[in-house]
Amino acid sequence: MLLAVLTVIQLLTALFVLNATQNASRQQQIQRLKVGINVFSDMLANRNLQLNQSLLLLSADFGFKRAVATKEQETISSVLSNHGKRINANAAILLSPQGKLLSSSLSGLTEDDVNDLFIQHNNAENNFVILNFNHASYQFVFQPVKAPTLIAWVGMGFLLDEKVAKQAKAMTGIDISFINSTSQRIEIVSTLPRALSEQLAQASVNFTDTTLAVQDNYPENYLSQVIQLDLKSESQWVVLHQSNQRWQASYQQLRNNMLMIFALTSILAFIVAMWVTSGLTKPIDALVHFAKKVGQGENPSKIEGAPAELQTLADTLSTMRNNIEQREQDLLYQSEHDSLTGLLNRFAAETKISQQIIGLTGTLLLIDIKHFRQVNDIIGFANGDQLLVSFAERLSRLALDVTLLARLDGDAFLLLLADEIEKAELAHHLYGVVMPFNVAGSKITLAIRAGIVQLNGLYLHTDTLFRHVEIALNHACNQGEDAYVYQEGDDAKYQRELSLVRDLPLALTQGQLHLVYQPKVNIQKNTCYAAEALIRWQHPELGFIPPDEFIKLAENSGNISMISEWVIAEAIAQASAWHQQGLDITVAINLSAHDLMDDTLPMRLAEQMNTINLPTYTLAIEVTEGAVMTDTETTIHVLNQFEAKGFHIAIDDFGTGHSSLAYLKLLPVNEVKIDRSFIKDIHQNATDHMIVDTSIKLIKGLHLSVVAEGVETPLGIDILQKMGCDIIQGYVYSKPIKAVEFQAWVTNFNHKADQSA
Amino acid sequence: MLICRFQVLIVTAYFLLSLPLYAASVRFHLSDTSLAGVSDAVVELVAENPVSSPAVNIHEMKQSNRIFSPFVLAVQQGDKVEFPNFDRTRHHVYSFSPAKTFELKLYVGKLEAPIEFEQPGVVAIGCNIHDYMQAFIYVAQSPFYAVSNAQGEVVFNDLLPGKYTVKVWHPWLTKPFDDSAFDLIEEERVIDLKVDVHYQEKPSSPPSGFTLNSTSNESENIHAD
Repeated sequence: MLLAVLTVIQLLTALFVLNATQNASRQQQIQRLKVGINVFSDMLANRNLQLNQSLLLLSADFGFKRAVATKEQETISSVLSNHGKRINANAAILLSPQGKLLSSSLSGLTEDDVNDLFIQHNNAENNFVILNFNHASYQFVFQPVKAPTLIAWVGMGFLLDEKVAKQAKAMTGIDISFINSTSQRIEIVSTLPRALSEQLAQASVNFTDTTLAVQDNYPENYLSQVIQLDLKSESQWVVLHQSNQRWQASYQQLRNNMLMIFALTSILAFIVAMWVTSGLTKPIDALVHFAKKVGQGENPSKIEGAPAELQTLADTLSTMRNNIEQREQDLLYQSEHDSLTGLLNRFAAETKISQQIIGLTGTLLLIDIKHFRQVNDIIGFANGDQLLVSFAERLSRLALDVTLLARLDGDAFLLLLADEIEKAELAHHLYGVVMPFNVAGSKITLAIRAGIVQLNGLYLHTDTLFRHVEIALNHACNQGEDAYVYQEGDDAKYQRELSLVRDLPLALTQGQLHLVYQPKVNIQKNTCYAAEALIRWQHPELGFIPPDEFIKLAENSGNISMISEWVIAEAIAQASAWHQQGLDITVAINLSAHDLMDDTLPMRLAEQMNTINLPTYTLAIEVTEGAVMTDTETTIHVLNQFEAKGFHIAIDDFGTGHSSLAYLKLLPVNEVKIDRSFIKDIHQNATDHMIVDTSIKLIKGLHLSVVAEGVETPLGIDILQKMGCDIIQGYVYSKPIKAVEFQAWVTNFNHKADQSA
Repeated sequence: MLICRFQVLIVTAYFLLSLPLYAASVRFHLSDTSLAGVSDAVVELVAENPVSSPAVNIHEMKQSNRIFSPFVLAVQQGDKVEFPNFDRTRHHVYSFSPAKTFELKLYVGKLEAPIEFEQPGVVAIGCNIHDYMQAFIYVAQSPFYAVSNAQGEVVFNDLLPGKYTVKVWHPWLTKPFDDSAFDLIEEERVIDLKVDVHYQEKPSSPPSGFTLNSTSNESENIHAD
């Protein structure tokens, strides 16, 4: 590029200089030509003067005058010839004072020729006139012949011949040609070489007027000026030629010099350009290359042989690249690692596992710390964090082939083990992990749970794997186990549970749920005085959902209160309806452990019933043994309030929980329901018979009513009646039925009882 | 002004013989286009009825101070002119005019015989030694001729009444004068004539010795053949 610019500049400079020089020297030549023309004109004028002087002397000669005065043709011819020779005239004529031709040395000269000539002479003060005669040009001068008055005009003509041309050339220094082209016959006398003069003669046919500018090709290599000798005929010309050979030569020499300078400077420019290229462009290219590499994140090798500045720039780039890389690595590390424990985070764990998911074998563990929140609350967040760090350290030191260890969030840790591992073996290894921690001087013992997935190279998607391990952990949590190995199908169950949890709130508003009522029959009086309200869910897609399933899900997902509210509302409405119809039925509802934590519930219930004038005895409370045992103190408090409000309270599922009998004494209970598991085989299982019998005696001893659930046969009624059981609930009387059906059933049952009574 | 008083007698006689006996006079006033009087003009009156030739007169064309004098001399046909030389230099007086061609070669003083001018016409006189010297001799046919004075006046007295043709000549006439005729009946008459002349410098005597521009006014005057 630089080279091209330099070359163009050079070339332009050379062109301009040459052009200017050419113009200048042309102007110079034209000037010389003009000078030559002036000199030539002066020369002709001088010649005219000289010839005039000569002719003046001649015409003053008395002998000549006398001869002229004779008017004798012969005499006059002789004297003209004689005197003409004296001054070397080529032609001599004598004219009358009026210009009439009297005598001529040129045979054939006409009156008209002379007239023209004479008129020209009269008009051309002191200037020469030219006679065109017989293809030759004569310079003519005239003088009067006086004796003493004018008696004649004598004219003498002098040929413009080669001699004149040579004289002119000697004076002017330029070549001169006389051309006479009368009647297409071209006569030329010239100082030019013959060949050139012939060339000029050829060209002379183009001479048309006197306004021609300086010509370049009359002949070639000359600057020529054509001058018309007589204005009339356009056939007599003088051409002055300035040879341009000399300036052509000097121009050529200059041009050659210029070319040489041009060539030299071009070479110099090329060398400089090469030097610049190698000295600057190349290092810059290298730097650009270097920068590109850096930009692509590579670490290119140092640039060799570059100037210090560029080297510094490259080093700076390199340093910058290293810094960026360092920062990038930091960022990457931060993005992949948990800032607290330094373990991989969830994102990194997922990424890394997804990279090797296909055909991955071994075991995936998801471990969390039981009740970590409570632990945290106790020891403080800072210590909690320290605890987590210590825990992570222990995990990382497991004597297992742990290929990946990550902290997913909070207290959840993920371990990928290269090998399959049995639950028992795992427990053995994790034993070391849960050994007491020394936190702030206190010994903290943690309990952990693990969800386990045996990979077996079957997983294709990380999402699935993670879900499975979470399901396994959830399962362990829900089941209260330390570890659970994911089983095939758990996922489907999990998905079903998920959809149930999701659909439950909608189901409540859309009427998918309803209550059914199972009669409670006083076998001593053979009357039905109460019914247990049981919840049913007819899911539009999944069909009948067992209450155990969705109640448990609702408890786990925190939606149980929602169900409780609904049940309470429904039950109150139903109880109210029956009460107004005079049907004396107590509706028993089940309250969960969660409901029993709410010490406002008794009050709310009572108020609700009060507003519709429904006595509280129309509603009974059933609580499971398990629910009571969750938080006994609070439960007792709440139950006391229920009792105070006049609610009937029953302990459900008696015998399945781990309740101590002492509680029965403390609880404000009216009724105890013996779990169906003891009842259903009572007629054939001696142990069950003994347990029920004892329980009934015990409960009766506490002055509480006894309810036997799940009685299916009349035989069972008999046995229980003999044992002293008060109330029976079971298929033997009726399965749980809808309110309308129940109403019909109870009316019918009590009516029959009345009749039999 | 030259008046040929010697003719008076003859004219008087003529008048007495032919017509009532009184003589008339004519005064010509010659003026140029700028109304200035023209001198050196020859006026010749040719009477309708021819007049008999008078006797031969002798005139003088002298050379003094290397000029001819007078510049214009009028003579009658047959008159003679003497060419006395009052200069110390010789003169070579000549004429190539058709009316009279002669040469008087290199003489000093007075020639023995005067030159007789037999033919009417204009004779241009030159000197071969002094080219600038110039004079004219008008040879008239009629006896009535005169040369105008400095005021351009010519007076003819004692003319017989009658019809006359007027001829005018001047060396510097731009074109020949058209002859005009008039009747002379009254005693005195004044006639204005317009003469178209191209003024030139009259030859004057130069300082003796060599001078550069002694001669040669390129004259283009037309003279009568």
